[in-house]
Amino acid sequence: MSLLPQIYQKEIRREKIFRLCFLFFSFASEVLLIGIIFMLPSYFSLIFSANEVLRRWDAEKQAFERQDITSFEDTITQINRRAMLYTNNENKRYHLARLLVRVAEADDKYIHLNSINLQSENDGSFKFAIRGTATTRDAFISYIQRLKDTPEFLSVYSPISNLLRESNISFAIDILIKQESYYYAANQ
Amino acid sequence: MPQINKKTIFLLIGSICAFVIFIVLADLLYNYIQAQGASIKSAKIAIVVLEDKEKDLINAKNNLELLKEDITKIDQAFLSEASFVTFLKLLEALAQKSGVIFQAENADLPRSSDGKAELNFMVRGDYPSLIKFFSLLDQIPYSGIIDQVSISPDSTKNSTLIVRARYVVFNFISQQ
Repeated sequence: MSLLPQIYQKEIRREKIFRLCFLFFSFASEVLLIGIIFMLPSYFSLIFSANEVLRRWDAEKQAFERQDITSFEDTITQINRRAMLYTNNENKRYHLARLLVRVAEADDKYIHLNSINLQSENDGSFKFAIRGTATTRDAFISYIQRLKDTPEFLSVYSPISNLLRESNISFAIDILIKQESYYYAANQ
Repeated sequence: MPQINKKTIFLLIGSICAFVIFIVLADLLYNYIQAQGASIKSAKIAIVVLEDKEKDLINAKNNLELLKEDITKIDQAFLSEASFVTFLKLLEALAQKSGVIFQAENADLPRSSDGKAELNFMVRGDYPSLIKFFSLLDQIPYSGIIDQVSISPDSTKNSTLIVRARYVVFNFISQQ
């Protein structure tokens, strides 16, 4: 219990509040000051490094622009386009020699070929039109069978008129070639 | 009546002013560091990106140099008016190698690169030699296909065949 009169008690309480506020703001100011002191090295290092970094960036940009990228990109584009065209064209190639070998393989001494024609169909597939003679009907039938067994050939069309004679048969046959063995669509 | 202690009031006002000044100063400093740091960081990233691009460019140029031989081969695989004679000489060389007689009969070169060049030719020889010729023709760098063939016996010579064929060249570039 205080023995001071009421008016002095109020004065002392106010003085206490003022001093507490003063202490609080002084302490906060010190904290801020310490923070500022700690931030100063970053501030100065940024000031000094910023110019250098920006100068380096400018130099890099100028060096990069000097490389003449546009013409180099054009060259690359042209090479890529041509390489792609080359690959596509290579993929469209088929080997005729293998088919001619197959025709020759089916042949034997009883069969004599007079002509072989390779003709294209409307759908891009091809057919061999073969004219020739066979010594016997059996030889001709087995020749047709050998042609049918050839994996590159899709079908062999032999008109019934080829079988009318028993010997010295003049024949005309059409061999349709599988599209995976020989194919070319002129408008592709 | 008790007097207010003026010294305490001045100290309090002084500490408040110092607090305000320091808080403003710290805020300015902090914002400056943030902004400058961000711009330096983005500049450094841009430098790294530029350096990477430059490295990629140098690598691409080196690769292009390394692939020069292949690129030249691809370029040479395309037929043009300028390389037509080379193409014919190649076919003549193939014919010589396979032992057949080659004769070019007709040629059609398109006006634009979209079209396809065509060469009609005649070869004369026995069947194995002809197959060898076509086998070599299937391997030439000028990609194409034989879309017409007619094989018939040569009436003047036994076992000799005459082949008339058309070779369509896919790889064609116009000089224009």
